[in-house]
Amino acid sequence: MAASLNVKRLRRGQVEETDANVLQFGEEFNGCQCMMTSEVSVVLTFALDRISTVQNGSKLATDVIQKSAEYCSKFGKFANAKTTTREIRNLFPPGKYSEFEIAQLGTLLPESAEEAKLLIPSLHTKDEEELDTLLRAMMALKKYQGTSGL
Amino acid sequence: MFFLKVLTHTIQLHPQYFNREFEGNLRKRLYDEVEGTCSGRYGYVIAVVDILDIGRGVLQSTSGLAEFTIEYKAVVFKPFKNQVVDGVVTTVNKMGFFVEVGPLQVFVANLSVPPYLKFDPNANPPAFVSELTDSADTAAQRIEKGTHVRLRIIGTRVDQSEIFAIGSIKEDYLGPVA
Repeated sequence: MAASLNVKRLRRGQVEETDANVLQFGEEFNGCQCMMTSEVSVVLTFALDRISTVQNGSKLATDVIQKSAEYCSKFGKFANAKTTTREIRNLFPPGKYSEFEIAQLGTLLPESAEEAKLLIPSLHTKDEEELDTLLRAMMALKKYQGTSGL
Repeated sequence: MFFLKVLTHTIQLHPQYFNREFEGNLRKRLYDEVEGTCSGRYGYVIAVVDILDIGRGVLQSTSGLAEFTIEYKAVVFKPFKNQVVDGVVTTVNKMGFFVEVGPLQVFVANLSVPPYLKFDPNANPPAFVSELTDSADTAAQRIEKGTHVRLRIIGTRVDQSEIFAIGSIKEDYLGPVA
């Protein structure tokens, strides 16, 4: 078991060090699947549907889901979210970028490799040109989504 | 950051519900008991996406209740230190301003705001305003209720059932966005 600076064995009461800059998310979330805001908004529309038809959800639950759904529709920048986010995930070469980095890039949509590296410091080891090409492809997808009939 | 996480939850079912609809009942109870909750370990559990396995109910010899261990997939939200997020400003005062990021409230203190943005006490609604520069710089920036802001979470604190976070906009590419 390699010990790393930022991972501590959970002892009673001790809090684990988490830091997004070095992709440390604690035992529970390391390697967990991350979602972009647009993906979440698709999922939440189904959840809200289910709540309104099947159950009289507790006020707390509907509050949280309502707030999150509003947030995701405001900041989820893709109109045709399902297909566009799938296309975006296919843009990334497999294995090179972590789940967190892919989700953050799809959520924040930086316009240049420089901006991306500043907003997501764990990307500083990645090749700038490749990153630039990826970002331009994402911008194009965002602009032309829904019009190609995909 | 939103995650899709597999979680487990235990439900004790009273024998009065041992009928044909017990599965539907279990699902309903799962939604009621788990959605909308927040814990330090998993963050905010926003919505259950799928129920993977219900498992066999084990009868408790002492109480007569049947215990089911349900495995399900849910969308959870947990903020992490140094993560950049977008949010909407809800309150502005002279100490700083509050930003709502999904279900979470993040506080950005005065000290984490770049020096060119100052609190304007005479503004109505209260706002942080930038002084106009005479260079070819951008138009005056304004942070007030309803402004979309990009910030970096610089610290989180988890309570038993609540998460508190503080953020900063004192960096390039952070601050109010169109």
